[in-house]
Amino acid sequence: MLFNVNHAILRFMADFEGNNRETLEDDFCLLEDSDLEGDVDERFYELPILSPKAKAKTPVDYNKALKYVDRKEAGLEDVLRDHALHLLPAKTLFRFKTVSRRWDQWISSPLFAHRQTTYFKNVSGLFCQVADHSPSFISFNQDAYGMPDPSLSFLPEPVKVRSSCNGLVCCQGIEEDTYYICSPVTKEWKKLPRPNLYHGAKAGVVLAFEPYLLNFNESYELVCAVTFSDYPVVYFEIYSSRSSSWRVSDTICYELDGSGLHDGGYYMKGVVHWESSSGVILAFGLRDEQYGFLPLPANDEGYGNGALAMKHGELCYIQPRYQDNVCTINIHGNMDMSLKSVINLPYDAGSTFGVCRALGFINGDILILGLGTRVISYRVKEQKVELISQHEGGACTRYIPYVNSLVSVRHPLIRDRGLIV
Amino acid sequence: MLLSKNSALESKDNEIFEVEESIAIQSELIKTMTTMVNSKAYVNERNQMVPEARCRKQANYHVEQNNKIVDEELSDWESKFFEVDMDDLHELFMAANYLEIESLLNGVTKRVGDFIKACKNVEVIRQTFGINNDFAAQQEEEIRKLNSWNHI
Repeated sequence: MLFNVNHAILRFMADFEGNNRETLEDDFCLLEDSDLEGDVDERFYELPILSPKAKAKTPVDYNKALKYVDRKEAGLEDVLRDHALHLLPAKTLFRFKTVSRRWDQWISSPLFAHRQTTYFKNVSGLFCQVADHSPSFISFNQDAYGMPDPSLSFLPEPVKVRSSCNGLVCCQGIEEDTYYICSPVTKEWKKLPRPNLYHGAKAGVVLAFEPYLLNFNESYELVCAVTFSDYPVVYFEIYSSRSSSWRVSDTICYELDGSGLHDGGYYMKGVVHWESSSGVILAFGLRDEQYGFLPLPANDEGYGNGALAMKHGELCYIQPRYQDNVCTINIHGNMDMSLKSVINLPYDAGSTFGVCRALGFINGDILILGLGTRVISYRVKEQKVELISQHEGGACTRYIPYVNSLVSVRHPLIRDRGLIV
Repeated sequence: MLLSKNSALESKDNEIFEVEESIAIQSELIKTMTTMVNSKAYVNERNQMVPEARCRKQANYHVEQNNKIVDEELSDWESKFFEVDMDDLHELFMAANYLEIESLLNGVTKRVGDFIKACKNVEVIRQTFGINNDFAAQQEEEIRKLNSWNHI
């Protein structure tokens, strides 16, 4: 366990501090080792722990160098486990727990769950909910992405899915107006304490969760833009998992009539965004708790059919447009949300299927669109359309993108194995 | 064109590869070796023991990769490079791990990951990667029942 963590530290520093990489390696070398907790028959490398800056000048040093090279080679299985498994989605991983006892142990371990949560960030599907009906899950790949109970019936009351981030899902009780944070894969959930302000159904709720490799105590924040019907004011109330408490931010937005905030905000790189029907995007930075506005591209159809997304690490806005019954997708970006590119859909989407809604844009290449009751994906580079779902959805459906990670809601080092099914 | 320093790498089966040093250094292992052993004294080092096939693949990979500067070309070339059968993929995987070449490792893990994702059968995984099934029949059945949402 110790070696694994040391190795993880080295890799982490190498990954996240690119310019320091050379210094690290000039100073010393620590080899990767495949130490697996609890496993007796584990192979391991023979590690000559090298002294700093060993520049060989004598034959003795040269032999030391040879020993470093001459270490035992890892088996394929170990290499697979160290490099490939944490890049896979939860459903795939659960399926292959039955490969062998070691796989079962490794996949069930909190250390692995944390690693997978940190590395696997692909949007795996959409939670889909109409009004107050049970939620369902539209998977982008039935074999690989999924969960035991997409209707979230393991929660104590019927809920409305509000937001999701890197595998954690935030729901709001329909009756009681309480918030729950859950992990659909592990079926763990946590009921949040009552907030200070009354949120109701109209508050803009966004979950912000960034897993870091060395931070075993996954921490997240639930950011709510709270409004009151008679006053053109937006308060920001934030729940922090670190303090397990709510706090109303000192920053108050007086410039916006909050009642126009769309359901479903977007979180990216420390900033929470909400679209407003006043024609702006309200952005709230979590570090300094300051807000700002970005222009929202004009839309002839009224509001509601565009979506915020990330392209090449930058915020962009996807806006379907109609002209002569042909639907094209406009991509807006930069601080002024100006038009950056236009994507032509290969067939006549608009008139045939009703309203075209943008639901997401994955890896800057795959557009997820709602066309009437259908959900399709369109790969821009290959120009390939794929039907994802036929029955769910419509103009009033809420769609929330979800990542199929193994994230735990509880403290990852204190795990009640009974809950992991 | 500037003639850069070449390092000679000897593989386990005593075949010698001449690889441009800037390319050889992409392997963390080789880089460490060259810092540990004073490279001025050993210009053409024989300091590597690696199964032959892998070494050749590494050399090819690097040469090609460094010739392709444009992103799109690189990704096309990469997808062709990795379209090999599982045995070759294993070799690449082991080699990338042993030689500690990050870019190669990323490419291989992606391919392997895609393969596993598309796999529906546990037995196929076992056979492909040579893993022994050390479950008692009953244990395996128990786990499978718990995960019944998983089996299509």
